[in-house]
Amino acid sequence: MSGNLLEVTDLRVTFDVHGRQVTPVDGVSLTLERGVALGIAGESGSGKSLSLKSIIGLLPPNATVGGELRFALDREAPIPYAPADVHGHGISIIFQEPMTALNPTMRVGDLIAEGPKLHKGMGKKEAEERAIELMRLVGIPTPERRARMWPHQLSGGLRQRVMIATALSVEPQLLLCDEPTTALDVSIQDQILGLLQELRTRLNMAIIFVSHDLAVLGEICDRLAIMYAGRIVETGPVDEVFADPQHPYTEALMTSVPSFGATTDKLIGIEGRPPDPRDFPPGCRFAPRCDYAQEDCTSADHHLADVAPGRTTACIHPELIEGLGQ
Amino acid sequence: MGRFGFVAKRLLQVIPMLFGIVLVVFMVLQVTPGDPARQIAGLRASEEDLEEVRESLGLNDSVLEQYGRYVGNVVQGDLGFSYKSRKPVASIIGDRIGVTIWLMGAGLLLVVLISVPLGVISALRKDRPIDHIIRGLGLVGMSMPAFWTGVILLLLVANTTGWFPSGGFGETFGEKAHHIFLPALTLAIASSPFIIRGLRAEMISVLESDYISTGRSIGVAGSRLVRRFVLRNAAGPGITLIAIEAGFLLFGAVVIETTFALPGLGQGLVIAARGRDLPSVQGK
Repeated sequence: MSGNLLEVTDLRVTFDVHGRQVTPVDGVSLTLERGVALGIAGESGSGKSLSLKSIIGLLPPNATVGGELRFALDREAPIPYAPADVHGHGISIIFQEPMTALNPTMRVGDLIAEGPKLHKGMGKKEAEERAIELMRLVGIPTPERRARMWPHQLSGGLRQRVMIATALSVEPQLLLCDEPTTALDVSIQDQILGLLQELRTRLNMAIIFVSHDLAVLGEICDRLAIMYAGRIVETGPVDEVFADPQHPYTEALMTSVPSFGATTDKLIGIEGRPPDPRDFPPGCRFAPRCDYAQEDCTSADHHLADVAPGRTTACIHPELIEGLGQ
Repeated sequence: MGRFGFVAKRLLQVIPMLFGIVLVVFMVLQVTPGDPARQIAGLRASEEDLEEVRESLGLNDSVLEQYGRYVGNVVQGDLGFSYKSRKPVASIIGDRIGVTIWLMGAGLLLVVLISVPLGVISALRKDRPIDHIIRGLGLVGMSMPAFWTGVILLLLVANTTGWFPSGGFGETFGEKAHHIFLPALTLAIASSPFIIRGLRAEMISVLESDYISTGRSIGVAGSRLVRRFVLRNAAGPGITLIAIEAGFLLFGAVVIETTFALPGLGQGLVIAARGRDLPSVQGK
C-alpha cells in the first residue's frame, strides 16, 4: 500500500493560562506517506513536542486541540480520528527519558507484554513469549533474563530499547519519536538510531522524529520540517534542505551547529531569543531576528509556498537568502 | 546483609530515644502540681499520715534517686505499682491495651476503606465537582475535634437509631466489633482527610509522569491503568502516610475512649493523671 498515512491540517494547541489563551502550536499542517521518516526540527518551545503529542492524544488535560487529524490505519485513505482511538492501534510513541517513561513498578517483560495481552488477545504465557521475542528484535541480549528485571536495573541504552519494544508491542504503522536519543551517550545514540533505522525498513513503519539535533535528523529522516514559534516554516527532503535552505531560520539554525574541524573557535548563535508564546510578533514570527527582514515581513500571512518539487517555505523573500558558505 | 543491617541500625537507634522519652515524661510529672500522697491518703489525712505515705512510696528521696530507681525497674520489665489500686502497672496496661489495639486497628481499617477510594476518585476527577465535594467534606472532617464528632455520633446515631451501643466494650468478637464501630468511625473521620489529601496529591503527580503516557499510548486505560500504573506507584508514599497517621491515631484514642467509655489505655491514662497516679501515667 502506498499513499498518505497521516494528514494533519491546521493543528492548534491552546492552553488557558490564568484566563489568557496561549497557543504554542499555531496552525501546523503536514502529511506523511507510508514508511517515510519525517524529522521535525526546532528550538525548545517551538511546539514540536506538543505537535507530536497531540497526534497521539497525550497532551495535558488543560490543553485544547483544534484542527483535523486523519490517519489511514489499515484502510486506503486517511480518515478523521480522535487521538485516544489510536492508543494501542496503529500509532505509538517513544520518549526522551527512558527512565521516567518506564513504569518503575513493573518488570520490563510485563510492561512489553501489556500490548499483546490487550490487543492481540494473548494469554499470559503467550504474551510473555512475545515480549521476549520483541526484546530480541530490539537487540537486547539475554532477553529471557532481562525480561524479569526492573527498569532501574538496566542501563540507559537498554531502557530505551525496552521503550522501543513496548512501542512496537502494539504493531504500529507510525512510530512517534520525541527526542529519543537526547538523554543518551553519543555512542549509545548511534546504536539507537541504527536500530530505529533497521526496524523501520524491516517493519515498514513510518516515523516522525522530533529533535533539536540536526545531525541526528540527517541520519534517520527522509524529509524534514523546520518549526519556529508554533509553525512549520520550511519542509523538504533532508539533503535538499541541508544543502540549500529556503528559510532564513533554517539557514541560521544550520550555521549555529558547531562543526568538527571548524576554522573558527567562535560559536555562532542566532541573535535575540525565541518569541514568547504569550506574545508572538505579527507577520513572520522570525522577522525580528532575521538578517534579511524586509518591511513587508511583519505583515505577511503565514503560508507555506512551493519553491521546488517537494519543497515549501513560509519565507516571502526566499530569493534573498545567500546560502551557506558564502 | 544490607537491608537487615539497616533495620537493625534503626532499631538500635530507638533505645536512646526511649530513654529520652522516659526522662521527659518523668520530669514533666515531677513538676506537675498536685501531691500524690494527698490523693492517696485523702483530704482529711493528717500531716503524719501523709509523711508515712510519702516515705513508703519513696517520694522523699531526691529526684535523681527516684529516676534511677524507676529506670532500673523499667529495664527489668517492672513498671511499678499503681498508687491507687496497688495493682502492678504492667498488668493494668495488659488489661487495657487490648481495647486500644482494637480501636486503633478498626480505626486504621476504616481510614483505609474511606481514604483510598475517595483519594483515587478525587485525583482522577481533579477539579471536577466530585473532587470539590470530597475536598470540602475533608476540610469539614479535619476541622471537627474528635471529642465533638464522638458526641455528635453518640447523639445522632447511637441514641436516635439504637443501632450502636453508646459506650463500653463487649466480650465476643461480634460484640467488640459492634462496640468499636462508632469510636473507630470518629477516629477515621478525623484522620482520613489527611490521607485523602496526601493520596490525591501523590496520585496527581503520578498521573503526570511519563510512564502513564507510555501506558496510555499502548492502550492501557481505565481501571487497569489505575491499578497497574497509578496505584502501584502511589502506594509507597501512601503507606508511609498511613503509618505516620497511625501514630496520631493514638492521641485521638485518648479522647475518644473517654467519650465512648471504652476501658482502654487512653481512658486509663486520663484517670491516672487525674489521680496523680504517677507510676500508671509513666508506664503508659
